[in-house]
Parts: sequence; C-alpha cells; structure tokens
Amino acid sequence: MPEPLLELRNLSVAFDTDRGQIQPVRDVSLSIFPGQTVALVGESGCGKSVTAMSILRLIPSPPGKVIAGEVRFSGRDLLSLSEREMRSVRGKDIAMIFQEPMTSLNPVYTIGDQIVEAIILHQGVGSAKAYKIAEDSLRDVGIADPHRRLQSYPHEMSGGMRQRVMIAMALSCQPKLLIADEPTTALDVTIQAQILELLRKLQRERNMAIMLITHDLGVVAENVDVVAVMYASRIVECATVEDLFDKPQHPYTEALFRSIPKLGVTVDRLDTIRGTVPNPARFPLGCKFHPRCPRTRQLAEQSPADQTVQIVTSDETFPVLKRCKGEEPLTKEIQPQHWAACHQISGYDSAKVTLAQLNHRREVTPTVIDPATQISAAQEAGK
Amino acid sequence: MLAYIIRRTLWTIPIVLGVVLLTFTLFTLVAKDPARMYAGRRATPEVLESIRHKMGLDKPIWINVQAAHESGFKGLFDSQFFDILFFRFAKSMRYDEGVGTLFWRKAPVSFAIQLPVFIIELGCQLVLALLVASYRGRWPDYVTTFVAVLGMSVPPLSIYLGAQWLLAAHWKIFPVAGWDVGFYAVQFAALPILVSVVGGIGGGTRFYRTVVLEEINADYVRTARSKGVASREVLFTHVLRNVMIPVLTNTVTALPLLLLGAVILERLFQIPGVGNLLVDSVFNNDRPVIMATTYMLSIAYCLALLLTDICYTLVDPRVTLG
Amino acid sequence: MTQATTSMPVFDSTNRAAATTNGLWLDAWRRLKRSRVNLICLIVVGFYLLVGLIGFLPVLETKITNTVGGSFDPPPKMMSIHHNPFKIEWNRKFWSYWNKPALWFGTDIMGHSVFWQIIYGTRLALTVGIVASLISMIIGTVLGTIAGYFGGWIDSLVIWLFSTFNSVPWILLVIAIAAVLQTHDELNRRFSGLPTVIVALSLTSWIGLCRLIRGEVLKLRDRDFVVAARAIGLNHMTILVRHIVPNVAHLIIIDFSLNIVSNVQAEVVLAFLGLGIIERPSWGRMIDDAKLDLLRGVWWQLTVATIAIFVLSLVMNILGDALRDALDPRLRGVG
Repeated sequence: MPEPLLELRNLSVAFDTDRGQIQPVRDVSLSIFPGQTVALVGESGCGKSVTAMSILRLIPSPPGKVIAGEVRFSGRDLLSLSEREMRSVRGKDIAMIFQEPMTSLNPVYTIGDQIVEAIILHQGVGSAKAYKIAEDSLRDVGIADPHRRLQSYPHEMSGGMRQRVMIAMALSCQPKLLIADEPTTALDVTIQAQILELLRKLQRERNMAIMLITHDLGVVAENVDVVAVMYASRIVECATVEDLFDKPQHPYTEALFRSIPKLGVTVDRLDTIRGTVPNPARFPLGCKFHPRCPRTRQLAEQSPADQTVQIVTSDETFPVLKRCKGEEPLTKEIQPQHWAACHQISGYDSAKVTLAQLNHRREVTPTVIDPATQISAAQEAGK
Repeated sequence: MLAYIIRRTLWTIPIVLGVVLLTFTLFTLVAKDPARMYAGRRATPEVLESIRHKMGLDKPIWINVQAAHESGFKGLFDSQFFDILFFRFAKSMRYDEGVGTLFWRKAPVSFAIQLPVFIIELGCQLVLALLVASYRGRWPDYVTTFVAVLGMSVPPLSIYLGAQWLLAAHWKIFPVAGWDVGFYAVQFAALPILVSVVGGIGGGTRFYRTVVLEEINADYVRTARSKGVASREVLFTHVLRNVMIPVLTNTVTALPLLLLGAVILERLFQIPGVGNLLVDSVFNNDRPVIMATTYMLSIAYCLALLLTDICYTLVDPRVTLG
Repeated sequence: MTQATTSMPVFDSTNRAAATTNGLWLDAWRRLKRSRVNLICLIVVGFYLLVGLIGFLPVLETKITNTVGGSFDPPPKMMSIHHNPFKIEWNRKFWSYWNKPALWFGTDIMGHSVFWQIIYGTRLALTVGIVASLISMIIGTVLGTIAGYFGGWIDSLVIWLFSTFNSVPWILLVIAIAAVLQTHDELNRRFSGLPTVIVALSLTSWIGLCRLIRGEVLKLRDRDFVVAARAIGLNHMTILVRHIVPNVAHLIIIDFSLNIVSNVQAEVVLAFLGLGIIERPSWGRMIDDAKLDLLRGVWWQLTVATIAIFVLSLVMNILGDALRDALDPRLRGVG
C-alpha cells in the first residue's frame, strides 16, 4: 500500500473563548493519497474549516491551538516544523483556496502582484520570469487575455473570475495538495460547475490531491473519491463515495441524504434534520447527535424503559437510549473500508478502532445521480 | 477623475458658506457688543464709537443699502457679513496690524514646532500599532495598550507643567520657556516637541491598533499567509497598504492644524505662534483676530478634507472616479 | 432546514430591541461584570458620584472660602529622607492630622483648603461632564436618527450641518464659542461660568455621534422589522422611538461614557485659556493656578487635581472599552 500524502492522526484543536475552552476539532483522523479527492462534508460550524486551517497551521493563535494529534505530510509531522519550515510548505507543497473570492484577495494590489508574490517566494525566479509564470497559470485557469489581466485589481473582476485567480495563485507553484474550502459556495450554479470542472481537469493533468470542504452533497457525488462526514467537530462517517451513497451507516449521514430531493420520487415534503447544530461551547453529553437522532428515538420507543432516558429540547420531550446519551461513540471500522461512529450500528461493539485509510479512486462515471449533478452536467454540456 | 474632483469641489462650496454663516452668527449675532468688551466699562461714547468703526461694527449687518445709493452696486456688499465672506478683516486691535500679515508672521513658528511633532508622532504611532497588533493577545499588546490608556488619561496640561518643572526648572536640561530667531530656536523648540509627542502618542497608537487589527483579521491576510508569506512581511506589505487609507484621512486633515499650532503648548512655553496669538486675542477681546483665524483655518481645513478625498484615489484602487 | 427549531438561545442579529428584555443588556452586563477590573472601575465611578454629590452641600460654599492655614501650607509629611536614604525620619505628628481633612492636601495661596476645593471641583467636573455630554447626546441622537431615517433633504441638511461644524478645528470652535458666550457676563457670573463651558463643549462634541448614528440608522431603515413596522401602519415617531433608537442605544451609551472624559479634560483647556469656570475652584483652574506656583515648589495643587482627573479618565476609558466589547454585536457569540 502506498504512503498517504497527508495523514491526520487524532487531531484535536481548542480555542479559548471568554466562555471557556471550546474544541471545534476533536480526534479527527483522515488520509489523502496522491491524486485523490477527499471530501470533508458537514453543516457550517461543524469544524471542517478549522481542520483545514490547522493543516496549514493558519488558525489564529492565541486563542486557538492544536492540543493533540499529528499532521503528517509526505512523512513529516507538520506540527513539529519551525515557522520558517512551515512557510516553505505553505503555498509550495500545500495550497489553499477559500470560500470568499470577494474578500480573499487584497483589494489594493493587482492580481499579478499577488500571484507573483508566491512564485518569487517559492521558485527562486526573477520578477520577469515570475510574471511569465503567473501569466501562464492565469491562462491555465481559463482567463482570457491573461497578460492584461495581470494589471487588474480584484474589484474589477466578477466572483467567478476572482475564484479562478485564487486557483491560479494556489496552483502557480505546482502544489501536491490543494485544500479547497467551500470553493464554490459563494458562486452561482453555472460558475460552480465551471470551477469544479476546472479543478478536475487540473487535478488530472498534475496528479494533485484535493481536499474538498463542502456542505453540498451534489458536489460530493460528482467529484470526490472518498468522503468524510463531520458532525459536531468529529468525523462520524468515512467511506468511499460509492459506499457512502449506497449504504450510509450513521444516522446523521442518512438524514443528510433524506434532506436532498430525489429525481422521480414524489414526497409531500422533504425530511429535515430536527434541531440545529449544537454550539461548540454547549455540546450535549454522550453522542453529540442524540438530541436530533431519529434512530435512537425510534429504538428507544421499542426498548424497555430501563434502557431509555427522557431528554428535553426546546420544543419537545422524548426518550432516547441511555447509551446514546451517556457514552460518546468512537469512530470504528464497522465494515471493511467503512468507518462510522454510532452505537446502534450492528457490529459496532466488536469493531476495531483503526485509522481511516482509503486509497480509492472513483469510477469515471458518477454512480449516484442526483438532481444537482444533472443540472450542473446539463449546464456544462450546454456551454 | 476630473468630474469627480469638480463634483467634490462643488460640495465644498455649501460647507464654506456654512463656515461663514457659523462664524458670522457667533461673532456678530450671539456676541454682546464686542466694542464695549474691548474698551472696558468706563470708555467714553466717543472712544467706543471709534473702536466700533475700527472693528467695522458701524456697518449694516447684511447689506449696505445706503452705500449702494452713494457709490453704486458694489457698495451693497460693504457690510459686516460680506466683510467676512470676502476676507476683508479689520486690523488687530492690539497689534494694529492686518490679520493676514500677523498670521503669516506667526505661522512659521507654529509650523516649526508642529511639523516635527507630527512626523515623529505619526511614525511612532504607526510602528507601535503594527508591532502591537502583530503581538495581539500577548503581553506586549496588553502592556502597550495599557500604557497608551494611562497616557491618554493624564491631562496634557499636567504633563507639560510637570515636564517644564522637572526637565527645565529643576534639572535645567532645557530652557524653561521662550523663543529665538532662526537656528537658535532649536533649543527652545526641543522641550515643547518632546512633551507634545509624549502627550499625544497614546491615543493615536490605540486608534491605529484597532485599524490594524481590523485589517489583520481580513480574509486576504489569511490568503497571503497560506501562500507562505512570513507574518511580518504580510504586516508591512499587505496590511500597511490597506491601513494607509484611514491614516491618510487623519494625516491630510491634520495639515492645517500644523499652522494653528498647539494652543496650550505655545502659551505655556511662550512660543510666539498662531496658537499663542489666539489665546492673547481671547484675553484681550481682540475680536478681529479670533474671527479671522477661525474663518481662515476652517476654510483651510475644508480644503484639506477635499484633498484627502482626492488622495484616496491614489491609495485605494476601489474608489471609483467620475 | 425549513423546520429548524432552536434548542439553543439564538441572538436575533437584526433587531436588538427585540432581545432587550431577555438577554442582550443582561448579557452585556454579565460580560461587563465578569472582569474584576471593570467592577473596580464601577466602584470608583460610584465613589466619584458620591463625592460629587457631597460637593453640592451648601456648607461647601463656605468651606472653600474659609482660610484654614497659611499661604501654601504643604500637606503633612509622613517622613523625611535626608542624604542617607537608610535613615528615615518619621514624622510623629503625621497621624494626628487624621481628623483635619481640610489640611490633608495642603492649602493654596490664600490659605484655602485644597481638599475641599477638590471636592467642590468634583461637583463642577461631573456637572460639566454629564450635562455637556447629555446635551450633545440629545443633539447627536435626534439629528442622526432623523437624517438616517427620513433621508432626502433632511439628510442633506444634517450632513451639511455636521460637515460645517466639522470643518472648524475643534479647539478653534471651542475657543470661539466660549469667547463669544463669555461676553454675556451677567448670566455667567450667576452660574460661575458654567453656561459658557457647557454650551461650548456640547456644541462641539455632538458631531461624531450624529455621524455614527446616521450611518447605522441608514442601514437599519431597510431591515425587515422596520419595514414590517411600517407595513402595519405605525407612525414614524413610534417606529423611531420603539424600533430605531433602541437599536442604536449601544452606540449612544458608549459615546456618552467616552464624552464625559473628553469634556472633563476639555474643561482644563478652557480654564487654562481663561474661558472656563470663574470664581469657583474647578480642577482645570487648580491646574492652571499651579503653573506659576510650581516653580516655587508648590506641587500639591497640581498633583491632586491631576490625579483626580487621571483616575476618573482612566476608569471611564476602561469602562468605555468594556462597554464597547460587551455591546458590540460584531464581537458577540462564540464559535
């Protein structure tokens, strides 16, 4: 088995706030192999972005700090590098693009200056050569008239264009891993499809690994090889994209799927997940999902009273299983190559805790079709 | 660009008129008999009348219909209001000199003190703010911010008095007060400059610190760091350029104040600048000087604000023109 | 998540007024009192208010004019240190002054008690600070809200007004207003110069608040809760008072607390220029009086008045910052 390019081992990150310490990332393990696309999926506030930022050690410190775990990249532990060594990793080996193309570029410098900054820093070339490289990378991301565009300021471009500039900037130094933090959320649907297609194309050409952070399951179904689902700062399920969409194990993943409309299936109203994402300052005890979990509610109704306990949320009172409220499940390999963290999956107790490693590549055609995919596919075909 | 400058300049006209109106309202409509205030209680009616004439108070307030009858249309504007509007100030009562000449004689002295103060202060404040902001949440930040608040809380007058007593009167490092012509002014300028910087540095540092902190948390800083740029580098290239925008406003609008000088400072150290002239005039009820200084400096200030807006376009590419 | 129900208290980020009763101000207060420094500052402010009230007692008028000792009697010495710093000579009589507060801080040139002057000065400083800040708060709030809410020519007029006032350098405006008002000497004599000081300071300190509120109201005007209030037919006055002003109340309070400091400090400047309070010992006048006496070694008047201003300014600055942190919506919420 080849070595993973990036490996997170039991990573935990804490933030000091004036209401005490919170942990937006707890015990997260994840591997990414060269050329692979791994998605980190979850609702906003579940810790996806903090995980990504702590890989590059970009979390503001204080108040944030990594309190446990390792981030191994090509065999090196990034957390033990000096700041100077870390700087040569950022932008060169691992690049990152962000959600907000509107604010992520410095408004007072031309985009040329901003792309060239990284090139000069990491490739040791002169300014003229660097501008040439910058021009090429703008051309690679499909920007027309790249020579003239180097002189433009960010505010003179549209959102999609700016995200292309961000990608050009990130890829100008040929990184081995690209972390894309919700790269298409702020863009409209047509542009989303174009940007994702662009990323796929560049990935194929350069054998680059991508860590895609998103909350859009349509994007996941269409683009990625391996999916890790995050809930309340933990990874609750991790599997290949086919596996996960075929037989989701965790009740949260199931609920996520039920909240997407399906083509050809008529329903009166879509299922939603009850309640809201808990605030990291006030996580419930036990399984963090139990106040919203349909599975434990259903099982509790069929179980003897001594195994259940009543819980009160803001609008209702209902029984859940004692174990779900009392004990937090670990992320275990409940089936070969399928990790999940839920007491109520058959075989959970006998399963082992292992590090999630999946060197898997998807089939070229998407195995799961959902409407979002079709829309973007149609739009791509149309253009 | 030109259209923008023209539009912005046109907007200055009502403001200048507003300043005229404000000055006029204050000194002519609200003030009680300035001639009597200057002459004192026991002045005879004849003396009072001559003072009134000298101050131009014998003219009508708004328009001079009588003068228009006598000497044609232009005479209509020979009134108190238009005297202000057209810069026709009366001579200073105390110095018997035109306010303009008086002002230009005093202004360089104020400038000689204020310019070094301004440059040293701004430089220190910016560097401190950038450093402190890069140490945010750690002890250098807390210590500097706390010292800045301490400094802001002491009345500047007490700092000046204390320094004058300790450094000049007691230790005799500097002369206590006074002024000299030409190069010899340096020895007299040193202490005022020093205390002025000490008294003013805290507030600005704190202000710029908030400005810098706002920029440091901006998304583009994160982007730059993710490219592998060192944090100090990010601070002095990416952040500083963005911080310059509010700095510019403060800087350009402060320029006319350099001519005004620091009122208390000049009075205390007996520096014959504009600020001192102003205080003198207040004590002597020298109305023409107070009025003229207020009016002229306000207009200079207006123009500086105009200049600031135009300078924006040089620093911030987002400001769209036209 | 259309059906999403809340299991956590969620702050309504658009209408702060709606949250007034159940959390916002309470939460702000909880944040404020969590720091021990803030609590100490609050106690100090309370102490100043108490001393200021004592200053209003009629007996003070005679206390500040009574001669309690010789000219420039220094405060009692606790010890004297000679050339050998290890040989401290304790002043045995030091503790015998405990029941003569009038002599604690020494006397001025006329032999009047500096202690009672400071107490009387507290009364004057707080009167100037609070009244001038209140007036400028009212001017700023009224002009700012109507300009932002109604827009159009009213807005233009208010912008013109504050731009005009802003075009006159602060110190010039204060001096000009005070110099002009000083000519009304009967009124000033009756209230020991207070009207001049208060009017001059309140007319110069409303601009910042007015501009701030106008900008904020401009943003609030098109928010859903204001549009909804208009849709159900509430009149402008009700909307302004019930929905707009409570939503900018935090700005008003922060500005008010910081304005008190700048007004107390500005009184010193006016006193130095001879435009301040007359015939009564304000802090500014005490510092101003000290400027010549200092060279004769009379340090106590200056020191005591400076400390009085310094401590008040310091605690108000800290509280102002704490208020800003506690009330600023951008800083609230965790995670």
